[in-house]
Amino acid sequence: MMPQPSYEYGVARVRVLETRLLTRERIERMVDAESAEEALKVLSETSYAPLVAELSSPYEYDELLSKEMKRVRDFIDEISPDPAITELFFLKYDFHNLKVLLKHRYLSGQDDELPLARMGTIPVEVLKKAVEDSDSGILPPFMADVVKDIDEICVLKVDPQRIDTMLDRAMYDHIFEVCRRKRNSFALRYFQMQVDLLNLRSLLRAKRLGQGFDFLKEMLIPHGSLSVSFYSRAIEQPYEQLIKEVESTPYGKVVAEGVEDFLRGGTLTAFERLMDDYLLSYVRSVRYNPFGIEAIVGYLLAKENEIKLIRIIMVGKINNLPAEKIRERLRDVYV
Amino acid sequence: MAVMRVNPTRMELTRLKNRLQVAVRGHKLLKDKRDEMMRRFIDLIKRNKELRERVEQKLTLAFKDFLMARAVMSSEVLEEAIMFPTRKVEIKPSIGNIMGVTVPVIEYKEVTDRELSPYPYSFAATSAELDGAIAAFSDILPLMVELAQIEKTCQMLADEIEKTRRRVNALEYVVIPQLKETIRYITMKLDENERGNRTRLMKVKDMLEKKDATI
Repeated sequence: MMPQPSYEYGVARVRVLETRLLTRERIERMVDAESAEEALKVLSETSYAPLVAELSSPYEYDELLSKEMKRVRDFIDEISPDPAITELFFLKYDFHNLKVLLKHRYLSGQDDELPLARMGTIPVEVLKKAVEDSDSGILPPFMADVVKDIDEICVLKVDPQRIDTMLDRAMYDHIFEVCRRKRNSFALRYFQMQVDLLNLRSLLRAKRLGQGFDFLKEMLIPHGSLSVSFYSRAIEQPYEQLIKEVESTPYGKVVAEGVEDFLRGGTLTAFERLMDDYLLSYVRSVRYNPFGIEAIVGYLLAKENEIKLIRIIMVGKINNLPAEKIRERLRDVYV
Repeated sequence: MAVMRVNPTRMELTRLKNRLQVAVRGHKLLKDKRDEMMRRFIDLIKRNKELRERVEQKLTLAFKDFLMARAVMSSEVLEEAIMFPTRKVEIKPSIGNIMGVTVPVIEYKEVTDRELSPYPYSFAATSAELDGAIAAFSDILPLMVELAQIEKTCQMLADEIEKTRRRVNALEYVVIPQLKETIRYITMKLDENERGNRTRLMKVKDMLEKKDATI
C-alpha cells in the first residue's frame, strides 16, 4: 500500500517508531560501557543493529549517525502530511551548505572535500551551482536574496562571522514567515522558544567573552519573545540581575540553573543541555495531538537528540573521557 | 702517550714548541667558549622547559574543550564554523648569533583585522564549548612560535657545545700531551747527541794527548 500523507497515517507510523527510540536505560549502559566497542555493542541490540554491523571500527560512528539521520529524513519526507512545515526543520542543512559554499568561494581554496550536509531541502549540487556561478536565480527567493546581500557586503571585506549571522537570520526570517502563513502555532512556538534560547545562550557567551552589546547585537536573531532592549541591558548587568529578569519568562529555570552551573564551573555545558532538554520537553508535552504535525516533528527531534546523545557518548568513549564528563552533557531522552 | 714521528732536530723542536703554545692558548679559549655557551644554554633550556610545560598544559586544555565541542556538534557544522579564519599571523624568520652559532630568530606578528571578530562563526549555530577552545588556541600560538625558536636554538647550541667540548678534550688529552711528550723526546735525543759528541771529543782529545806524549 502506498503511504497516505494524512495526519492519522503519519502519527500512527511515528507511534510505532517511537517505541524503538533508545531508552534512558540503554543510554546509561552505553555511558557505562568499558570502551567504544562495548558502547557500540549496546547499540547493536537496538534498531541501529544493521548500521552497526556495517561499521568496521567504532571510529566510523559519524558515518553511522549520518546514515541514520538520512534515513529519518527520508522517512519524514515520506509520511509528512505537511511538508512545508517539516521542511523547516531541515532548512538548517541548506543554510549550513550555503555557509560552507560561500566561505569556500571567498577563500578561493582548492576544491577539496567540503563539509557539506546531504540532508537539506535543496540538492547540494544546485546550491553549489548557484554559488559558483553567482546564479541565485535557481534558488528560492528567500535564499537568493540573502546570498545577493552577502555578495554585496563581501565585495569590500569578507567577514565570515557576518556571512554566518546573515544566513542564520535569513533562515529564521523564512521559518517564521512560513509558520505564520501556515498558521501553525506549534511550529511557531517551537521556533520562538528555540530563538529565545539561542539568543540567551549568545548573551551568556558574549558575556563570558567580555564582549559588549555591539558584539552581541550581531548575534541576536529577531522574532524572539525577549526584546532587544532586554539584551542590551542584560549584557551590562550582573548575572544575578539577569536571573531575576527572566524569572517570569518560561526560561527562568533554564537560565537560573544554567547560569548557576556556569558561575560554579565556568562552562555553559549545563546551559546547553538544559536548553535542549527544554525544547524537547515542550515537544514531548504536545506530542499526543493525533491530528497535528506535532508527533511527527517530535519524532524527528527525538531522533536528532538521540543522534546527538550517541555522538557525545562515542566521542567520549573513543577519547576515554570519564563517565561523569559524558553524563554532564547527556540530554534527556524523548520517550 | 705516543710520540709523534718527527725528526729529532732542533728545527722540529722549535716548531713543536710553537705548536704547543698555540694549542695551550686554543685550549684555554675553547674552554672559555664552552663555559660561556653552557651558561647561555642553561638559561635557554630553563626557559624552554618552562615554555614547553606551559604550552603542553594549555594545549591539553584547549584540546579538551575542542573535544567537547566536537561531541556536541556534528563534524560538518564544526568544520564550517572554523573553515574561514579571521586571525592572521605573520611570521618572519631571520638569523641570530649566540657565541658564533647561527640560531633562528622568529618574529611573530599578528596582522588581524581589528574589525573582524576573532570568532569566525555565528553563535546561533555553534556550541558554547567552541568559544573556549578557539580562545585557548589563539592564546597558545605565540607561545608555540617562541617555543619553536627556543627549542631549535637549544638544539643547535647543544650541538655546538658538544663539538667544542670534543675539541677541548682533544686538545687537553691528546694534542697537548702528545706535543709535550714529543718535545721531551726531542730534547732528550738532542741532549743525548750532545753528550755523545762531548764524550767523543773528550776521547779524541785524550787520544791526541796520548799521541803527543809518545812523540
